[in-house]
Order: sequence, then C-alpha cells, then structure tokens
Amino acid sequence: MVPVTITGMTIVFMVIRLGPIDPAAAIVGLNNPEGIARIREQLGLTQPLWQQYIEFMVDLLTFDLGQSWVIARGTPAYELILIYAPRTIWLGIWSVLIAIVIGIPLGFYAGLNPNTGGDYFASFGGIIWRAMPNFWLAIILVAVLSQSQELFGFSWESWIVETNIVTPPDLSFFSEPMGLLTNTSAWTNGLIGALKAVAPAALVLGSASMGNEMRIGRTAVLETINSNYVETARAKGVPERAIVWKHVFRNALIPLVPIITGEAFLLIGGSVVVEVVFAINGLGYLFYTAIQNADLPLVGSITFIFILVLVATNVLQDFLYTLIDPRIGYE
Amino acid sequence: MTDDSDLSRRRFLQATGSTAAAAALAGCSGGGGGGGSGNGNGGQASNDTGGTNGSGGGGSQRRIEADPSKTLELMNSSITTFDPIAATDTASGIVIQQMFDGLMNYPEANTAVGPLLASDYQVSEDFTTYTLTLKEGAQFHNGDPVRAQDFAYAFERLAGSENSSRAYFILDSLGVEAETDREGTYQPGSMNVEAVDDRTLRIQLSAPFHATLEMLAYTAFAAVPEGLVGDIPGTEGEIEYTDFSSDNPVGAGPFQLENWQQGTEASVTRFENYHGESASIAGVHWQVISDSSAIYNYAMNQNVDSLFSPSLPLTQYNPEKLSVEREEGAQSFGTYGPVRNGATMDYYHITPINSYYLGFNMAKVPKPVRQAFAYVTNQQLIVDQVFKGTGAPAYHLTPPSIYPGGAQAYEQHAKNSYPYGYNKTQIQQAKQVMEEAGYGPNNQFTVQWTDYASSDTWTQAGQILRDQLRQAHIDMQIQSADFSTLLQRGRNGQLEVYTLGWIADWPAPDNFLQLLNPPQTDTSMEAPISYLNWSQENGSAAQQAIDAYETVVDNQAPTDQAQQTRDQAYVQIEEANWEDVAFVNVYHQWDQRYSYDWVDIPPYGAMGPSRQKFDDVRIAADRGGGGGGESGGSGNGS
Repeated sequence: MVPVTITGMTIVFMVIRLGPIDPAAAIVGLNNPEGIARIREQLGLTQPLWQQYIEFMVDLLTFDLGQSWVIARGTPAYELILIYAPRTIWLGIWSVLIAIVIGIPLGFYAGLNPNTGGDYFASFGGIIWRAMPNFWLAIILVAVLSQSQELFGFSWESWIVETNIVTPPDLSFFSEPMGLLTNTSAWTNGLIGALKAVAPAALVLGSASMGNEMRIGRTAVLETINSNYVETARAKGVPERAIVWKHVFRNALIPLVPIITGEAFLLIGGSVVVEVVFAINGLGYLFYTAIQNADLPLVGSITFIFILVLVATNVLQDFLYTLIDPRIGYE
Repeated sequence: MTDDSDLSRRRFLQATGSTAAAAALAGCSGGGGGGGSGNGNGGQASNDTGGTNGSGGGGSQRRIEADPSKTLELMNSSITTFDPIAATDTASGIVIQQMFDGLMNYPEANTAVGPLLASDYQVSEDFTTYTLTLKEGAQFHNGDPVRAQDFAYAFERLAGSENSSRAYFILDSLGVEAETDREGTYQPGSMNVEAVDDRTLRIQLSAPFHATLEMLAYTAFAAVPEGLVGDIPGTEGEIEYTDFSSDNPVGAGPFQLENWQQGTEASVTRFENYHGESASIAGVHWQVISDSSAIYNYAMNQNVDSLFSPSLPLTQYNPEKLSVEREEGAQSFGTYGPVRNGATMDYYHITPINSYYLGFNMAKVPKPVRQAFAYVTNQQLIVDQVFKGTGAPAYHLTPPSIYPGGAQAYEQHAKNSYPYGYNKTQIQQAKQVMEEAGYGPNNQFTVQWTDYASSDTWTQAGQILRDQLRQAHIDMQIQSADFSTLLQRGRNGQLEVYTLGWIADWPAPDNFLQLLNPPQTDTSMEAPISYLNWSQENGSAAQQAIDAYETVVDNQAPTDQAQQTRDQAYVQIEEANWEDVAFVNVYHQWDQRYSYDWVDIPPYGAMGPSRQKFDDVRIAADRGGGGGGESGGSGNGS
C-alpha cells in the first residue's frame, strides 16, 4: 500500500507541476500579468521543484491535506472533500445497488433458463443497456423527466416529494440521525427526497455495470450449471432448489466479485460526466475542475483518497472471496 | 462540451477584467441609461437611485405587484471566495457585489459612475489628491458604523495582504502613492491613504488618473470593518480569514450572506439597516450549475426567475424565437419564446464593454499573412454563423460605447476606413497580398491557430477561416488549449494565432488599448499583457502606436482637454493596429438576459450583469402560474 501511494502521488505531482497548466495563471486570469509573480510566490511555486515535491509528499503522508489553491482559495482541502464526497458516495452506493439488485438476478435468471424467450429478452436488454453511453442516457433522461408532464401527464418533480431534476441531493437529514425518532415524517421525506434526487443518475451510472453483471452472471451460471459436480449432485438426487442456491449461486458469484468491487471504485471516481449532467457537483466534478486549474493540493488530496479507497476495495474484494468460497483463506 | 464552453469562456474573461468598469464618457452611454439613471447621478448628491424609475418603465413589459417576501432565484457558476480583494472570477464577483458597498458605484451597472458610500468628493488642482466625504449613518452587517478608517484598512489589505489578487489595482492602475522595495514589492503601511476623520478619506495618487472614480467602484475597493481580518501587519484580526472569506463576509451592501455551500449554492438576505433604500426582495439564491444542458433544464423547469446569457447554452439559443420590440442605443428589449416549457420570456440585451479578437505573434507570423487573415475575416459572417448573431461585429478593439465620439463615430470610422473590407470576405485581395510577398501554391505558409479548449465556437470560426485561407496559400492548423495553458503559452511566446477577449477594468479605451502598446507585448519580458511581440521590425506602424500610447500616458488628467488629446491618440492606435494587423477584431459579445414574466429586474448597463446590485428587483406574489403550467397541457406531444 505504501509503495502504491507514493508512486501515485509522485505521478500526480509530476503531471500537475511539470504539465502546462499554471495555477497562478488560473487564479489571476488575463488582465494582471504582474500579479502572477506575486501569486506564484504566495503559493510557493518559486521554490526549487524538489523542495516542492518533498513538502507535498510529507504533507500528504502526514495527512496534512493543505488548502486549495484555485477552486476555493484558502479553504482546507478536506473541507471541500467533506462537501463534495457525500453526494458522490450516496450516488455511488445506489448505482452499485441498482446494478446488483437488478443485474445479477436477471443474469442468473437468464443463465438458469438459457435460450428461452426470457433469456433473449434479458440478454438483449443487457447488451442494449451496456451499449448506451452514459452521457447520452443522462441527457435523454434529464430531458424526458423535465418534460414528464407534457409527455406522460405526470410530473416527476412533484411526485411523492418535491425535488429538482438537476442539482445535488439534500443530504442534511443524515446529519441528524435522531430526526428519525423525533421528527419521523420529515426525516423520511428527506430520505425519500434524497433517494429520488439521485435515482435517475444512479440508474444511468448503474446501467453499464448492470448490463455487465447481467452478462457475466449469465455466463457464470451457465458454466457452473454444466459443470461436473452439479451433474453429480443432480445424479445424487439433490433437489434442484438446493443445487441452485447452494452450489450454482455461490460459485457463480466468484467472477462477479471483482466486477462489482471494480465498479464500486469507478463509481466513486469516474462519474464526472453523469455528475455534471445532473448537476450533482460531486467529487468527480471537483477532481476534474481541480485538474483543469492545476489546483495541486486539491488534486493531491483527492487522489490520495482515491488511492486509499482503491486499496480498501482490494482488501474488501479479498475478504468477499473468503466469504463466498471457503476454499480461499488467509494464509 | 460545446456550450460549457461559453460559460467558462465568459467566466474567465470576466475573471480577468472582472467586473469593474464604467464609461468615463458618461455622455455616450446616455442611451444605455435606461432613462433615469444616466442623469440622476451626475452630481455628487445622495444615493438617489434614479435608475429605479427609469428602469421600471423601460425594462418590463408589464407592471408587477411586487412581493417583498420573495427571493430571487438565479444560477451561477462555482464561487471561490467572498473576500472582495481575493476574488478574480465573475461568479464570486456577482455575490460580492450584493454584499459589499464601495465609495462609488455604477448604478444598475450603467457606465456613469455614481457615489454610493461617498456623499461628496473633491479633487486637488493637480488631480492627484482625492478627498472623499462619507455618507452619514451607514453601517456594516455587524452593526458597526462605516468610517473612513474602514476604507483605509480595506485599501491597505488590497495593497498588502497576501490574500489579495488585485494589488495592482490600487498600486499600478490607480497609482496610489506608496513605497516599494527594490524588487517592487509593496512596503506594508506605506500607502498614502489617510482617514482624516471618521467621515473623510484622503487618497494621494502619484500621478493623475482619469478613471479614479471608476476604479473606486470596483468591489475590491469596498469597505470592510477595520481590523476584521488579521492578514496585514499590525492587525490582530477579530475573525479567522477563512471565516471571513467563506462564512462571514461583513460588508455594507444591501444583502448579507445567509448560506454558502461550496460548489452547490449560495444565498443572501436583505440587510434591513442598509444605508440606502433597503432591498425590494427578501434575498437572492444562486444554484451552482456548470453543465450547459443541466443549466438549460433547470431553467426550463422554472427553477430560476431569470437566466443570464453566459448561462443559456448557445446550442439552445434560436435567433428565430427572438423578437426585439424596442431598441435604445446599445440596449434591446423584446421577448423570446415560446421556450420548451411553453412560456414566452422577457428578453433584454446590451452590447457591453468587451472585445474578442484574433491575436498574432508578429515575430512569427509575417505581415502579409496577417493581412490575409484580415482580408478573409468577415466579422458579420462570423458573428452570424458561429455566434448566432449574439454580438456586434468588431472593427476596433475599443467597444462602441466607449469609443471616442461614441457608437456612431465607431461605425463611421469602420465603414469609411477599415482597410480590409467592411463586412466582406476578400479572398482575392488576400491571395494577392500573399503572392506579392512571394508565396504561392508550392510555397505555402503554415500557421498554428490556438483557441480555448472549452469552446468549440472559436474552433468553428477557425475552420471557416482555414478554408478561405487555403486559397490564399496559407495552411492553417487548428489546435485548442485550456485557458490557463493558452495564457501561459502566450506569455512564453509560443503561440502564433490565438483567440482571446478582454473585459474592461475601467471603462475607457486605454484599458483596452494597453494591449496594443508595443513595449507591453514583448513576450521576452516577464509580464507581457498581450502576446504580439509588436516591434518596428515586424510592423511599420509600431512607432505610431508607441507614440500614441505615450500621449495617452502623458495626458491622464480627468479634464476635457486631456481627454480630447487621449481620444485622438486612441484612434491613432486603432489605425496603427489596422495597418500592422496585430489584432483582427472579431466581435463584441452581447450580454443577454431572459426572464419569466413574474420578475422585473432593471436592465443592466454596459458594465454587464455582474455589476448590478439586485436591491431593486420586483417579483410577483404569484410566481409561475403563467405560460409554463398552462401550455403544459396543450403541448401533449404523446
């Protein structure tokens, strides 16, 4: 983990500081060429590069994330991340869940009933879902929901709870968990509202992985169900239900685990496009604008967190393997 | 990423010049005054918002029963800070404009500067000492009275704080007397600004400057309670800097901050003890959205009351839906619609003080090539085809409303004297000038065009020109770069042909024409202001430009006589540019606004929407209702 972090951070530093973007230029803009020198000095960009590098690494590895240079000058990076990250995580959770809850059962259904009408329908649907580009689906969905009144005669915006189609979900209900007991209806409304606000985005974001998981789930089930030990079990007279749940299901999950964990990471970091279209302004968007403006402390901090998450998902993935497949264990 | 483009382009451009500026030439912007305001503030009298009446009649199509409990709903791009001396972007500037008041102001963003927290001022005979008297009874959001000491403190911060991004405003542009060390760094506390008593502020300039009052209208010069933040030597600071810049920006403006969530939203509420008439609305709320399709959908769902032009994606703009009903000088009023939700929106635009151009690195691109560019460029065509007609073709770098003699003189000078064809594509002439210089089908000149990556509008313009230039033996490669990358490459002298724009710091031609002052364009210097490398070696008119700019610098007094001298010199610089083709001026972009009919915002002047205070907005008690809902029923496409 340490080498991964150090290598990652070194690459970030090199890309940003040796790249063509000058954060001082991003701050002052066009009218003030003299000001650039002053800002460069303030940011410590006039020091030798190796000294900047050492400072950058030492700060990060001691969890001193520093202050944003450009995006919100002077604001500590962790404060910014605290604002942006919860939305992305909220969105990420639901998109992973949607994919799991819809994709895997469909895949298993298709795998258990191969070459039937249902299988074709699910498989074909999976391919289509998989093929639809996120940005396109997102724009279409926003446009359709915005005009739901005209198109379907029902208004998405005011359905159940009043929410906007674009803009970040209101996650304030999370900060007062006691509200669930003291002010139940308002709290649940907050929850539903937040859920509804990210649902279209989560659907879009989950769509590709949903298709993926469906296809891989189907193949995995087909492979397992035709394997020798299933046949043996069947010959021994084990009821079909037990075969499916105990032998096929568990074994078919193994190839799905890296897919799911891999996607979980992608969803946390790689949802820029969808976040932008739905104006959710989450971590991906923050990362993107930070890179564009060479906001080194912010890019560094976010990358640092991404690397930590990446390592953590890998650990989680190994742990899941041991849960699903008892043959795998920690040495 | 097409239209994001426009947004960020604007944001950055304004970021640069940011929000200040107003016509020193109050006369020529009179048409832009929307009636009352132009005349009302000539004197130093009280803060009579003459604009109110003028705008009410002029701006709206119908009378609105205003409900003072309503909050104005708008969109904004990402805000970075509320510290007036740190902000360089428009998004922050718009909010700061609502919360901070300075000595002077552009009423409803009109170019004629008027007093705000000042009640009177006097200028010494040599035009270097300004003595301003403060209004009585004004107070900050925290209840403290506004005193001259607060301005002295705010100015010191502007010059000396490490948080200041605008020190050059006060030290260089305004030129307040101050000491600097050998390296040119400002010595804290050495500035010659003195609070004579609680209500009298004396500012000593090192030389006369004709736009002093305009400069003071910039929010960077706004009052901040003395000693509030400890970022200059000798002050402890009552609150933390980040507290001031993000949670608790204490100013004396008509609104105070209610809530800001970085990258999400910001809102301000009416300040009841405002020194002027307190605001006619309860507050303003900005939702931060950057994606063009999200912006469009948010607006079409009627989540905003009004949509300002950098926000409406150009791809969604349909010139056929626009019907202009009335034009007054640079302003146009009309309707736009029906938009997607069925409503017809009130429309308004003005040609503000900005300029977009093609610049040449003259050391790399020889004169015949530059002239060929000028010959093939048909400004009107580019404005119509690429920018859908949302601007005025440009022939001078100086925008029409501040051009010496006004918009008419601008037009006439261009029509009569523009050497490369007024609204004409002259491929034949371009070919001729190239062939005379020895270029031909087997000896083409290859040139690199660089535009902002965020905008494909300029790339389109480049493609149009590329196809035409090919016939004139010029092989043009089109390339895009990020804005800050573009600037950096420009500063290093690596660009050949580039596209940029300029928005004024102060509303006078010299703010623009400094870009065409040859010594300031030398990219081997540390801080070139444009990237032309214009010298006598690559342009016969360089000396004319140098001399004329010197004349401008030598005649900075705010007198009619000095202005006349300056005006002549301005035109000489423009003509020198025509001769040597340092810039091909392309267009002056409109500032458009679309509002639903339940809101009435006074029309902004040529300073543009980011300079407008929203204290005089009226919102009907019954929002929505109108076009949107009803037409929903009729538009049953299913």
